[in-house]
Amino acid sequence: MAYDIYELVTLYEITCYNLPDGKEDFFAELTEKAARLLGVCRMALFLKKGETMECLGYWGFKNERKALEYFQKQDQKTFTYSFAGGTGILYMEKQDPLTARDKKLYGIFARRVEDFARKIVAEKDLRKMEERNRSIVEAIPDLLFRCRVDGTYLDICCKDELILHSPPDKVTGKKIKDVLPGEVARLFNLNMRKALRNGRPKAFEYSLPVPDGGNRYFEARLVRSGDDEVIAFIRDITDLKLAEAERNRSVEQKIRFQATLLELARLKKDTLEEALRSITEICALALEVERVGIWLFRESCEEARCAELYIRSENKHTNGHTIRLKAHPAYCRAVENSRAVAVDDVAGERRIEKFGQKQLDSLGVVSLIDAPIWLCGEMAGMIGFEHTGEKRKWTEEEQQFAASVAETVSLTLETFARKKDREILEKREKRLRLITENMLDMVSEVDTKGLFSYTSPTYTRVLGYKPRELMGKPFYHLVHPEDRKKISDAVEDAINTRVPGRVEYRHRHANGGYLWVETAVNLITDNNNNIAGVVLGTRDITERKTAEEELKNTVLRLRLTIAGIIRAMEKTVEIRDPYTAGHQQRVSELATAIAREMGIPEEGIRLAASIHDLGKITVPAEILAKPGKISDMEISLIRMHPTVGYDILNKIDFPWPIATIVHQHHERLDGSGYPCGLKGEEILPEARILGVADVVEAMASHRPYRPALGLKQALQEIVAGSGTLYDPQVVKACLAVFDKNDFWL
Amino acid sequence: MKMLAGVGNSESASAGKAVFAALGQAREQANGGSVSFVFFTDSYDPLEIFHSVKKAAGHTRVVGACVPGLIVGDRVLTHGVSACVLGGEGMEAVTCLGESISHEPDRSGRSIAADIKASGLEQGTLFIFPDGFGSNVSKLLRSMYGLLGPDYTFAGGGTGDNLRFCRTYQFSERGLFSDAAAVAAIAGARFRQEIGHGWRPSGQPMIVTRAEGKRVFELDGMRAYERYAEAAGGIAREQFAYYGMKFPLGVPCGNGNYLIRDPLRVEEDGSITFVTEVPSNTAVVLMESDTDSLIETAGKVAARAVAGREKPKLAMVFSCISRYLLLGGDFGKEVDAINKCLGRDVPCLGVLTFGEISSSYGSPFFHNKTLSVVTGW
Repeated sequence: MAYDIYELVTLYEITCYNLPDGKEDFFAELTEKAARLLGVCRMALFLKKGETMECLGYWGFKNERKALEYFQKQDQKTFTYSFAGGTGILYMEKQDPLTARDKKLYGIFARRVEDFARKIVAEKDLRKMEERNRSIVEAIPDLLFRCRVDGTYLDICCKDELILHSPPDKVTGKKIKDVLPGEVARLFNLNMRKALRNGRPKAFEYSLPVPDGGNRYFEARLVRSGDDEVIAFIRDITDLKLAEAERNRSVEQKIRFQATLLELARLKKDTLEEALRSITEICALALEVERVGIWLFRESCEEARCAELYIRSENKHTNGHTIRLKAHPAYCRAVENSRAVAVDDVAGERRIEKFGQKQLDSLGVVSLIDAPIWLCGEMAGMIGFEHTGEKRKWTEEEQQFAASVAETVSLTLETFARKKDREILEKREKRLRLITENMLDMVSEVDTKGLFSYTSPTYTRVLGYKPRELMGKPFYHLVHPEDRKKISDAVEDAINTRVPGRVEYRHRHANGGYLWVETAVNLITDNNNNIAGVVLGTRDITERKTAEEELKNTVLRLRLTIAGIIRAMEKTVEIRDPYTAGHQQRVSELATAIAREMGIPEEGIRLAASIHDLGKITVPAEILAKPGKISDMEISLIRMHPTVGYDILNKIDFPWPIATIVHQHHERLDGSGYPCGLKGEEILPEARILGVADVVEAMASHRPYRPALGLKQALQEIVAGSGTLYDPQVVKACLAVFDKNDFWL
Repeated sequence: MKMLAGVGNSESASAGKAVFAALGQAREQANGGSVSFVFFTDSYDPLEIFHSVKKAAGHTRVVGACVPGLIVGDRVLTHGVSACVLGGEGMEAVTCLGESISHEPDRSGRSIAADIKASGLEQGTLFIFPDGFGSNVSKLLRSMYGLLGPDYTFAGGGTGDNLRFCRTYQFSERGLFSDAAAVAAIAGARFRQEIGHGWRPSGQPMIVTRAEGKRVFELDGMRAYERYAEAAGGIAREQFAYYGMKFPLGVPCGNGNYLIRDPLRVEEDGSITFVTEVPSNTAVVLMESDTDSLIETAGKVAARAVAGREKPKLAMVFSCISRYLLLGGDFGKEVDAINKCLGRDVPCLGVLTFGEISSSYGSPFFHNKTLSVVTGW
């Protein structure tokens, strides 16, 4: 059979290509070759695995199941090749029926695949074997030797010759006692005899010194392997031993730390200084450090003051010096953000470069732990544990311990601060009690139910009640029934406004009578600002009340007297000039109404208005009653009446400026009035009211020299003169008075 | 089943107008259709093309890509849009898109195959338009075929720009992508595909002893360029571009066929970068051809595509850009040869491609320097 160039190239490629690495690539390369070189449209490769065939790969099938189905198929388009020994099957399929030449090429290709598959299986087996061997090797003890009963090494298998101290060939034939230290050799001989005698394996542990110092630990297991020989399995258990020792050390340390913390918790000291001294001393011993210092921040937080420093080697306590913190924010932040900052090597810790590195160096401090001290939610300082000598790797337990000690310091500081507060409080309470017990006023406390919860001793002296007699009794029962509302209103006001109130009422005396008292009501609030009761500061005001009552009576009498005088004057005018008398009465009523409308005290205006024309008593009656026009002389006489009235009244000491009101009632805002030509604010408000009332009444009433002009015209007059002659406010009030329809002239 | 097919072309400057014009003609001929193919040259904004296609294609499935040129009649357009719409009673079409084909050709191929299987199509013809600059389109095809098997016919071609080698675009209704493969799977229609190149072996076989993707480092254990130059009878490095186009490598590919691998350039280290990947451990032969052989082969391929059947309803021509470059002014003759065989009244979609896809040799391969003709009834 001759091949053309194409077939030769194909053959060349089939026989020349190398097996790629990896199972997946292998099959991918096979499919590429088979599809391209041989026109294969489906392919599958099965390899024997135990009793079944494993599909190594398939191509052109929808799934592995389909590949298995097709694999059974045999027709002109398919080519199935079984590997020698039934180790595998290669299935290939072409779209067209296979020719003899195709089959030849397919056969050559299949044999190449078989070679590769065999290689793959072999590699797989090799890998498995390697794995098994590795497991076996890993299971072999570090040293294994056969030994005769007389202690002679027969043969040796050793992983690490260091365990033997010398090469195995130099040890073989020698006796154990010549190789191992005496005590260890004795152990071997003893246990060997026991193993031989009992036929049971004997196990024991021993240690050997190593050249670079220290010991290595071994576990030996001797098993009888003949009448006079044993096999010794030796395992290096140094790491286990060290781990166990570390575990033990850790446990011991934990116990020691717990005991120390317990001791700190039980500390009873009278002063804070003593307590801190004990803490630093105990902790320096427990943590085996040279210095323990407690540093508390100053208020500005820029500095820390040493509250206590213990130096173990000198057994010395000191305090008082300060360090600047502002320059080391990174380190302070680190301490604040952790339970404890442990520095194994001070020289290598950049955060504390400026944190007194030189000072630490001078003290020989090589490692340290700093833990924050917290007070009321803020970092108040730190406790430092400083180690000198060799650098130290702080364990987790040591760091935890440092943090716990810091918490203990926090608690101690809090306890002493509370103690100090309590003492201050007690002192203050004592002082307060002294004051309340010796003050003249009565002090009591009433709870939210209205019951007395405290009464000061003054109650006995003032109200006759014994100190404990009122406790738990209702406060309101001691208040005069008519005054109870006043009290409850005052308390309610105080609650609503949160402002202390003051109230006067009658308080029942132990003898059944009542005393006038004045009470200041103060609220008692709890921490949540809820009302917990009231404090009543009560003063006996019976004497003051009596005096006030007397004064009131005197004033009343005086007012009656004044009213009598005024009435007498009014009468005098009335007798002489009936027109004027009626006029004064009506002006008084109108002026009082205007004053009321304006919210001005009425009494003075009323009285002044009722005698405002008193000065007319010096004007001859003929002039006053003269009908028709009067002369200038007569006008001058009449215009003197405010001054005359003033002169008469000025001598009397009224509680109101009656004389001045009368004097100014003809003055006008623009200064056009008389007798003084006063302007604006120079005229008393009462006089301005009186002026308007006088004009309105005069115009509205009948006069001997003219008939009544009427109210309407009178009001038009004051409106026209508002702001120039008359006070606009007064005019407005006057109009309002008439508008309300409850006033008639 | 009676296939309804239509092809439309436009050279409008506006992407939107071109798409609407080309798709409009094609849809009218195909009476709406169920799947549309749209190809455009790199002179348009791809996003504008994509949005226009989405509007113009109606509810039909769409695949498309940017290509270096379009064959319209006896001309090659380097600015234009061509569209082909297929439909007909009983036709089923599914489109899908595989992403990141350069980095994960295997995963991308499996993903496309899984989508097709999930659609329920048990067999059919796959029109695949991958990014022609992708580093391992062959692997993508093998992965797809590995799961789909010989029940599907593979056709299509690599897409890309007008030899700028910048960025290529592929799309389906799902979106516009780069470094992707747009695939339309059609069942219920009969297609025939033929492929040929017109190249013949020249000289002794060589073995690709070291290659990674498109780069061949060693031939017969020597630096690739040295061995290639020796096989070509001694060529100067600066002449490589010319000789590379004239003397590609042939990789044996079943039944006396060769896959052509087109050398692109010599690298500084003496390795040769090819247009398409070259597998390692492969025998290769230097190939040669001439204008007549190429044109004759084109006619033969087209003749085979229509042989023994009534006039096809549609023809699709995928011709390698390198043939166009190699033939230069004679490319029209190749187009003539094809058109003569197909018949000028058969709607024909012609596209210049970066590699051609065909399963004519059994399983699908990514070819270079070939001409692929697909006819449908």
